[in-house]
Amino acid sequence: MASGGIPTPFMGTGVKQDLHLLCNKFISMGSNRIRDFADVFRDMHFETILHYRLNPAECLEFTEYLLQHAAMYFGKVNEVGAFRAFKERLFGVYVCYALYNLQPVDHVCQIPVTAVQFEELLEFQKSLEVEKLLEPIAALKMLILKKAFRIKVFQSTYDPATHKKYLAEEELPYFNKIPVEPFSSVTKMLSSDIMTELSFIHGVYTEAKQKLGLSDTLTGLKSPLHEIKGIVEKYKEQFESSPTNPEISSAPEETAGSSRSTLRSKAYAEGLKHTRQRRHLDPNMEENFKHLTARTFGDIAQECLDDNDAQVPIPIDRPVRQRRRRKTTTVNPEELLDDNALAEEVLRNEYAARIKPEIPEDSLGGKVGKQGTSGVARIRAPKRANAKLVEVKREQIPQTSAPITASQIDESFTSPANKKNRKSASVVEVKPRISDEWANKLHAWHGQVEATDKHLKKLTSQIKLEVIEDEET
Amino acid sequence: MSMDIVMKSDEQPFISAPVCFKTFAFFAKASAEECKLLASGSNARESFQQATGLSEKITEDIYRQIDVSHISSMVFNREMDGGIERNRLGSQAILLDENSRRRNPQFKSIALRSLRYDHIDHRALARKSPHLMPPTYIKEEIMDDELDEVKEEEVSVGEAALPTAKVELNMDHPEKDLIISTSVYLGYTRTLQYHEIRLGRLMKVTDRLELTGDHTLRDLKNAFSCPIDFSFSDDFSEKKPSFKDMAKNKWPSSMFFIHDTFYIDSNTGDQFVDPSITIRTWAKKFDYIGPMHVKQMSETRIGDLICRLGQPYVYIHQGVCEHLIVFNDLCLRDESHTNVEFPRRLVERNFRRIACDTCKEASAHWMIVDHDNLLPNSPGYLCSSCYKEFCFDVNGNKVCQFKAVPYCDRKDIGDGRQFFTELDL
Repeated sequence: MASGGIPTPFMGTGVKQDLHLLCNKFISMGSNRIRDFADVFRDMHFETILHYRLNPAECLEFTEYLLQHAAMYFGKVNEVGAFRAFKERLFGVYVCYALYNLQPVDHVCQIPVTAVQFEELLEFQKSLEVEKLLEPIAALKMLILKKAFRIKVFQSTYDPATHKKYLAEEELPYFNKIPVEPFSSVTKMLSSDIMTELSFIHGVYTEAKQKLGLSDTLTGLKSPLHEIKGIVEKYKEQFESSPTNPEISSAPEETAGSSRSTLRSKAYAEGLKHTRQRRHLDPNMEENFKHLTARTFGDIAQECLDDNDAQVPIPIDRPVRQRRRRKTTTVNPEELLDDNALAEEVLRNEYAARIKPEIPEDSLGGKVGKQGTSGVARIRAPKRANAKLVEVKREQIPQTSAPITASQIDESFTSPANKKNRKSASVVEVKPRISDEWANKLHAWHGQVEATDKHLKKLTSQIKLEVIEDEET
Repeated sequence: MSMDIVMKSDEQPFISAPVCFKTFAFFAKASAEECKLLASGSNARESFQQATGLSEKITEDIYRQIDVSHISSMVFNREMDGGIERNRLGSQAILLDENSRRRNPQFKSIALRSLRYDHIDHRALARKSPHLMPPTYIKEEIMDDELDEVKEEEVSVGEAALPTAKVELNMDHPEKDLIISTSVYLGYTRTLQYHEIRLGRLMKVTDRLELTGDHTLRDLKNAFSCPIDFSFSDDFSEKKPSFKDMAKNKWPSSMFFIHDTFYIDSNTGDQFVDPSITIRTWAKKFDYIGPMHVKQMSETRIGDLICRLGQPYVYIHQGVCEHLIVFNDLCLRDESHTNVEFPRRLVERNFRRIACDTCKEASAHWMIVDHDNLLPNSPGYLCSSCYKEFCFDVNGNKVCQFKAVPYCDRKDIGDGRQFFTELDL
């Protein structure tokens, strides 16, 4: 009859766990004596492991299974493939000795070992003799004398009758299974006889072609084994690199989203944008007219104003300071030269500026009214500069015209002395020169003729200065 | 090995790698000799003292320390000692849980039925070690051995007894002391259907034999028997059967097929016909099977074979009956096999017998066919006494027209003498 669908465990279930637990307890004691092993054996009640087996066949087979797994402990290598410690092998000797003597007297099972296991046991006995551990040696001698070991061909049993139901053995929680190496089956296949035969055939084929003189066609021929190896290596590299790729990909995502420093660096890493809305454009269009020298005009004007302010009040108030002016006039030619250079630059810039404003006039066409407005629009940028300059002009004109003309006429007629005449002449000559020049410069956009006239005036003024200097000497 | 190619032996979990029996016997004997060197003499203390060079007192102290008789199993009272709570072993917990599910102590679960030693008399597998017994029990054991010897004669099952003499190992022919465990499965005369294969009928072991390496394959053949060998194919209602009419003597050809070799028995008489010719002719058509060889069964010793453990080989007899032969295990002879005669039969298969249709007491020895409503069944099975009284009148004439064929029950195969005496052969 069926057993009601309840799965039946293998009759040896739990044996490995019990032996493993006993082994761990014995190893943790740190002693090699059999008495200590007996204490652990007794504490765990290991003598009851053969109890409650009702069927004689079950009892015999269980005992054989138990002894077989106990004998595996004195082997050199464990199930996983790692080397066993000395203490574990010592435990194997003790546990075999104890379990063999634990059996009933009239139903004794021998300890099934393979030839390899038996050789390892004999080698272990030699190492015990070297370390002078007498108790395990005596135990081994006793086991051998009792003929406790039975040599088997294989550790596992091969019987078709026992495979009616394929029973799976239990898995121990503390035992590490042999790790499966990646691409192990592929490497086995590559090292198999078929592949070596294939490569040999390919070699013979290539040699035959070389003998026949068909070496050109061999350039395209590749051994399929090499191709397979190349493919395997490629996938191995991908497999090796694949665990590192998510780390690389995950790192910037985490850092970018989590820390402030990365956000800051990300923000600053981006390029700045220079686009603006139309409504935010400069109403005076200074940025669009950077090529113009509006600011330079302003700077020059301010310099002139500073010089005029310094010069104008002094001669009127104090005659002694007038003498100091004479000293300063010696330095003026250098300044004038600098001013000339500046003037040339200004002229050049003005010429360049004239060309660009002409374009909108052409685009506008022949409309007179709009030309006027366009003129106003053109003048806006320079208009500001003009405004500043006009202010300077307003300040200069009443000062220079009114007091100079009246004072000069009166003084010239009343005072006959040369010195006085020289002083007044120098003062008069200096002021109109500056004003005329700057006034002319300001009106440079009327054309080249005006520019040339200004140049002539400059030259004439220089001649006058030279004449005055000659007279003084 | 053509059989390995067809069966894919390397992929099967119950088939091992090829084993040379002679080589294994040699290494096993070498190990035994080394054991003698390590632990010679009748006393372990003396051998230990000789090996280590220690004094007698120290040796006695050491052996007193390694005495583990105090940890032997004691009488364990489950009710008084706490039972499962006291027992910390995992295997015991599982066992107690499994025993609690049993309907009765004789119930066998699937796991117990799949054991290797199922259906084998435990007395045949039991062995006694004299070193484990205290000196006071030696005399009692001797008396028990005498009783066991008497039982052995009755049961005809070899049992391990107390060794009286040491077995000398001979290194010249190591296979002589090699013991090979062989399983013979139930034979079939036709191809099994799917449900029959699924039910595991092929896996019924009818005989489990132990032979030595010195035995030949012919000895293996004679060690077990099949009911087809004892069958008759003629009508014997009006004549007496004889040995010549038996199928075993009428068609004596039989063979073993192991890997790529047919082992035939050509010394069976004039009626021998080589049964391997048909198969070898058929195999020549297929290249992947490979060449096949033919050898004599009587000239091939089991110890000279190179076989795989667990692989089913074939024994064919009567032209149609096929038995699977499996070599299960190898071991070396020791003192426990002193009073054992090889080949030894271990399995006592309990087959369902066919009883007499009339008296229902004795086993059937005659099969009645083509009868005119003489019996309610056709064929009808009758024992010898019922056959004579029911089918023949006082004068010895047949009651009606029928055919009678001698029948050998499967249960009586092991004891062929009874069958022969019943038939008065």
